Amino acid sequence: MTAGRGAGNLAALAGFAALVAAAPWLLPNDYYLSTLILAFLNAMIVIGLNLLLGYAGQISLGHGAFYGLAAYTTAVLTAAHGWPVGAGCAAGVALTAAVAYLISIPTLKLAGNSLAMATLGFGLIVHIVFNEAIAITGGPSGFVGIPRLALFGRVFESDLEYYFLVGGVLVLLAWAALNLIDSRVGRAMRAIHTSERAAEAVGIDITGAKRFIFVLSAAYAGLAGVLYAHYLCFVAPSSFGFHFSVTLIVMVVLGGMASVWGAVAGAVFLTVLPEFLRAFEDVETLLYGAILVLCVVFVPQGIAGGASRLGRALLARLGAARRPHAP
Amino acid sequence: MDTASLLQYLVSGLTVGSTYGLTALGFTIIFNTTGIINFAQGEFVMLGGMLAVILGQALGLPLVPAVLGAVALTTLAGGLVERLAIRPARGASPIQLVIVTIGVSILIRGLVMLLWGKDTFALPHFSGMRPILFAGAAMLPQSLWVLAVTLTLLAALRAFFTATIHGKAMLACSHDPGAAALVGVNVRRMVLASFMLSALVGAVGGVILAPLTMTAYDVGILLGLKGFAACILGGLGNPFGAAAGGLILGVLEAFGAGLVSSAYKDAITFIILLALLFARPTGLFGARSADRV
Amino acid sequence: MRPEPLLRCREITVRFGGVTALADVALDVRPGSITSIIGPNGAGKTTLLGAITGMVRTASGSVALAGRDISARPAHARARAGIVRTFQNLEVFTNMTVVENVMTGCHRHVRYPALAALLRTPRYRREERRCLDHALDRLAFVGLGELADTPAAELAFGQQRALELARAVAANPSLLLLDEPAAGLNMAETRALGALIRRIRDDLGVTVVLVEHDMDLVMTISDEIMVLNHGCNLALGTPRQIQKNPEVVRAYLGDDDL
Repeated sequence: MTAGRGAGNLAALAGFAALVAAAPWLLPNDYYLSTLILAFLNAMIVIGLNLLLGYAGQISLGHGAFYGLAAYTTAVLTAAHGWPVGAGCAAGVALTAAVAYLISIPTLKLAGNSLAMATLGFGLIVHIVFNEAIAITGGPSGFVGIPRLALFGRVFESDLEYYFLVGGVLVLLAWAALNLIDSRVGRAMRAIHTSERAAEAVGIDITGAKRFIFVLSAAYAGLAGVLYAHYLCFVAPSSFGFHFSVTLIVMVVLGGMASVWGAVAGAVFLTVLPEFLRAFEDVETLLYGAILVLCVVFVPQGIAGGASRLGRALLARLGAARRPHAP
Repeated sequence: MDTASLLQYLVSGLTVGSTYGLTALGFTIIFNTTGIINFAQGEFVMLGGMLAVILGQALGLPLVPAVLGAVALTTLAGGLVERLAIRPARGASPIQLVIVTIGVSILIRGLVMLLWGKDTFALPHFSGMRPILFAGAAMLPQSLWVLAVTLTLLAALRAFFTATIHGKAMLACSHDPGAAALVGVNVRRMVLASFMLSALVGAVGGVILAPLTMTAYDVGILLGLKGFAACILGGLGNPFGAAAGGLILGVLEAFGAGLVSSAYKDAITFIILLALLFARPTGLFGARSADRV
Repeated sequence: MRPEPLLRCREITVRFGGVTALADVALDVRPGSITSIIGPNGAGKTTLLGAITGMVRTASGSVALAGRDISARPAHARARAGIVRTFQNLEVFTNMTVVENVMTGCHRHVRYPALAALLRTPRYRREERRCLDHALDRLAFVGLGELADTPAAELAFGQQRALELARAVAANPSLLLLDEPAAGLNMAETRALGALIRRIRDDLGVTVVLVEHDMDLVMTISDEIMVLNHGCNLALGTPRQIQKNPEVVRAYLGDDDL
């Protein structure tokens, strides 16, 4: 059992990879493919944010800004300065991680609502810069002319190619997150969540562990950001604002705190939901809000928690049904 | 820079800051009884302004009944939010309840948009628009209304919390709900009361500001954000510190816009806010630690 | 000649606001000993543990481990140097399984870069394997071997105490500080705890400092006892000497009773 955790993770990962690979053939049309690409990009950010919020217990209302920072960095470098796309992407992720490192120094001394406020403030400031530094970012109307992603001489032209690329990256990031959770760093961050005193007492450097996980989760958002920029070939400030940061938190909680698959489920659910609600036009916003409330009321443990509870109940029933036949 | 414009900035800062302060106060009332950051607080402020406009225009009510009716209806809405969304989710953790309030805020916004559309509305000024000149600065009578109503409301709340049995009971809940229940306080009723009271305070903030800044279905987002910032700045545990935080935030904003750059006024405000927060993590007036998430 | 002490505290002073919680307290702990710190409520025993581990800020004084001054180091660095403690009110990681709690205890000696974990390198797998084996071994040592995969939150109170001990010894500390480990345990459990503490010293070679109110336990397992009163050193000696010390008796019974 104890040793089987890694094997269970691998099985789940293989199942997820198979689902990702099969999805294009299950979809009725190509429009859904692009929705799914955006859902997967969100899932990358939410996996990273869940490491921070669900596992280490530290909130960030600034992850939309990390996403945007990486997207704008590669956009400006590749479109305005002629950098190769690969180099632009690397620079985008690296800059995002570096900024996360710098702001983590004062920010992570705060806890709870003060931390929420500090990261929120950071996000707002970055958002204002996107809007006002028109000479660099193009301002509120956005930045156009970003080249499509090209790696190793290969241009990802069709949506289907891009879908497989994004799906592959998502599987890799989920794998890395699962590995991390079952490691000394993962245990350190879970320990910090329950008791900082007890964590210190066994030699965990709380500041260092928090900072690492903050930077890593910003890097997850950054990776999603560069893939976003080179997919849509257009970025605008409105995609990276306060509203998006809050939506990311909602995805973590609705998917299930402290669960990698919950993060994926929450991100896909909340990205796809508005597409379905679009048919209801005027009442779209109303329904979206109502569904959020109902989800927490009826499935407080999130999608992952609800699913595992359902699974256990089914297993128990199966066991109860089988028992009478035992000799 | 002449004193007249400085005075002008100060007045407009205090005016907007009053609404931030009342929004912040609403945040602390709910947080102190429940540990929830109510993301729908800004929607209460929006409802105050919007309902006053609607009652005046659609039903043809004179200003005073429209304003009072709007505050009363918003208070009722606060109670409904608690009954229909917060109470059914009891047993959920604070962060899950925060998600509920996010859902509620989207729902309220969606409802108002559905009923009255996306237009911007103006509420008439309470007593005309002829500016009052004072030491070279021009001041709208409405600014005086805003300041007077805010101060009156703060004084009334102060009296409520310190001199009435209900107010004391609400304070007791904020310190220790378990102990409050033991001495006979009905904690669940207090939660309901806290939502209604903070909806009332928010609605008043919305109604007094609406003549100056116009109102629409989506003004609650930004007001809620500023109110949250104000209450963290002032200190979450301290309702009147939060109100003071709102005034400070409003003044910072006005001076930032006037003296530096109006494009970056919000950025300047938040940079100063972050600096203050790093220096005093529990807020300017908060003694208790505020990490209950 | 006494051997060089493993832990050497000198002139430890701690102030909380205007209150002096510890005043010029000294403590020497011989390697391989079980040393108890006793004293009436409010004497400053837990504060002294905090000062030794770096979790309480000292106004002055020095702490040295095996001759090396560690007074300037933060709490986690002192734990890495080998001083590990348990807590009076349980601090079990309730969001993990039993064995994961103990594996967290291995933090100071199971080491690999985070990148190795993210990429699941052979080094990560080797170290994790070793960490798991070590944790299972320590769990068996405290008698919780059967419960490795149980969520820690589901354990009974006494089992959570044992789990905290397993997590602490999994760190392979040179010095283990126990803060009232018998609080809340019944008589049989306390006796078993006494035997376990002895085995920690004898089998694992860990030097133990014990803060405890249960005098039966203290008197039976201690090699040396230090008595604190009102934040000051009151007496030092073997259990027998302490029991006969009139000042200690007075501190415990109060002047009125004499």
